[in-house]
Amino acid sequence: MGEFIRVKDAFYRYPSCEDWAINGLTMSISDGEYVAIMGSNGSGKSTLVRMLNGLLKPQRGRVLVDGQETVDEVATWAIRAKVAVVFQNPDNQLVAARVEEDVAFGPENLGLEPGEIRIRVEEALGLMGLIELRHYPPHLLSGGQKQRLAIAGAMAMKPQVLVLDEPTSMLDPQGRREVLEAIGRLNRDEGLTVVHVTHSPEEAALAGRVMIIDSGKVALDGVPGEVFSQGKLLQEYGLAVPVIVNITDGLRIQGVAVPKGIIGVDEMVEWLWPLL
Amino acid sequence: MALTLENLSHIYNQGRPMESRALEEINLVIKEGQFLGICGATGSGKSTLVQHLNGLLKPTTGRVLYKGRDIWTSRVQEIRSKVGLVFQYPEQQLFAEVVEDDVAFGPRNLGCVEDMVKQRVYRALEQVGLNPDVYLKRNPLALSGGEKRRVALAGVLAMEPEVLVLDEPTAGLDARGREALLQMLEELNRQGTTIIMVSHSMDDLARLAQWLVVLRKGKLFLQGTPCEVFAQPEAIRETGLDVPVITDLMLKLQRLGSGVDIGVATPEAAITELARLLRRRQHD
Repeated sequence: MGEFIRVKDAFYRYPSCEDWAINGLTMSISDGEYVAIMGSNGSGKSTLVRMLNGLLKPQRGRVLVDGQETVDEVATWAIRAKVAVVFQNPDNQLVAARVEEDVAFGPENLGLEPGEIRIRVEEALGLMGLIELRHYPPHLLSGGQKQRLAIAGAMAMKPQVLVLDEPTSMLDPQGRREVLEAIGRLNRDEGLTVVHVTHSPEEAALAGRVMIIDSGKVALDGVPGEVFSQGKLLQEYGLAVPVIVNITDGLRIQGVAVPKGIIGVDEMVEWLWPLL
Repeated sequence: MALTLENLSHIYNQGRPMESRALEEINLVIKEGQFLGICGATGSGKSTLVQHLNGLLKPTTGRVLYKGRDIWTSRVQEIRSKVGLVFQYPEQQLFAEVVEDDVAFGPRNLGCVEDMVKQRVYRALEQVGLNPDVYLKRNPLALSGGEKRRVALAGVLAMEPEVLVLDEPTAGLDARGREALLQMLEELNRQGTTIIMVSHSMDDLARLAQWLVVLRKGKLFLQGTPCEVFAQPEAIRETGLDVPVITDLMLKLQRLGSGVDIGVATPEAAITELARLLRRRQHD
């Protein structure tokens, strides 16, 4: 697992703003990791996401993708091909009249051979479970299907990193489940590096690593069990902890010895039921 | 009764090739002072339903009664000052150059005298937790996402509605903004406003709603208190929804044979319940 993305003492300030949105941020992400990023509104997390594929470039410090600087104009297209970004609202990201055409849009623009395009479209549709919907017009899809289609479009570019900026916030629970399962599968089975920005602590807990951004810097970084055990600190950053953590914290105050690192329902049940 | 829906059906594009049945034979009684939750998958008819509550949509068949009177037999405009509707992402509808004018738009159109308008704007901003002296002259479009949403909400509250209907009010807010908004709704309800909230967050509904309605493909699929509704996890999941995290935990513990109360809805109640069971076991 080599380091794939490296952000080194980076700064970014929007024109006509006084404060630095990214304020001396340093972090790195390795090949094959699944990283969740959380932060309150205005913490800088969306700015960070836009720096990871060079949409925004650091004004001081460095952002390196696979060893290449994002400020290097020559590297821009290579970096965009390696780091795909999917945003919140799938309706703003779909372009074609049919599902399969939408997936083909990216590869066509890369100028690939028709044969190669066909292979990539098949693969991406298969990965996202959209084969049966290939001839549908996107506007007839459900929210979860649309967002999976947006991810399929990104996957057809064969990126090494998939960055998702609040991909589930506009979806209903079923759509949310579909998208989260798809993301997990891409990371587990395809070895894809995933960076998932979310407001939901339950979603963040699915990742292997949780990074908290505050005032344009990394405030906390670790495995979910570690990060979410610091409820007080998270509250200061304007963030919520998983409901289960609220419960285990409350039980500890009442004198119950709860083992460390319990953040999900199933872990909680496993520990608790023999005691009840 | 604040609002009653009687055999309400709504068909979009009736008689045309694109005809679609959005709502079928909905019967629902909403009591005065109630906090009602509405949930359902995308396309289940939630937004169509709420647009009937203040006369934005007219039923294809059936009736909507406000305090016993059919809203379509009298002047339907009257209902709009009684039932305030907050759409999804209401901040997209902010338009004025200063917060004051945006919030004052409603009461001015109701024909309130200027003194009264001022008073209402003040009160509404205070209700949503924005200090009027600080915010009145600010540009609403230059505020943060959470602040914009509160200004939009203040615009509806300034009409002093008896019933407040909100479609996904916390969507896109961070934890702090979300908590502030939910506490505000709780407080408004305590002061007597009837609240109807559409939400995908089962955790929020479990915490706030006194009565919960589940829509499925335009039909009323389940209704009851949140604990009655969430006690049927299979039915809930079948509709594309989820049960709240706490209910999920309690149901799993119950299935494994512990005598937990599956009706608990808040973390505080869960802590008390689990501590009680653990203590009881120690005494055995």
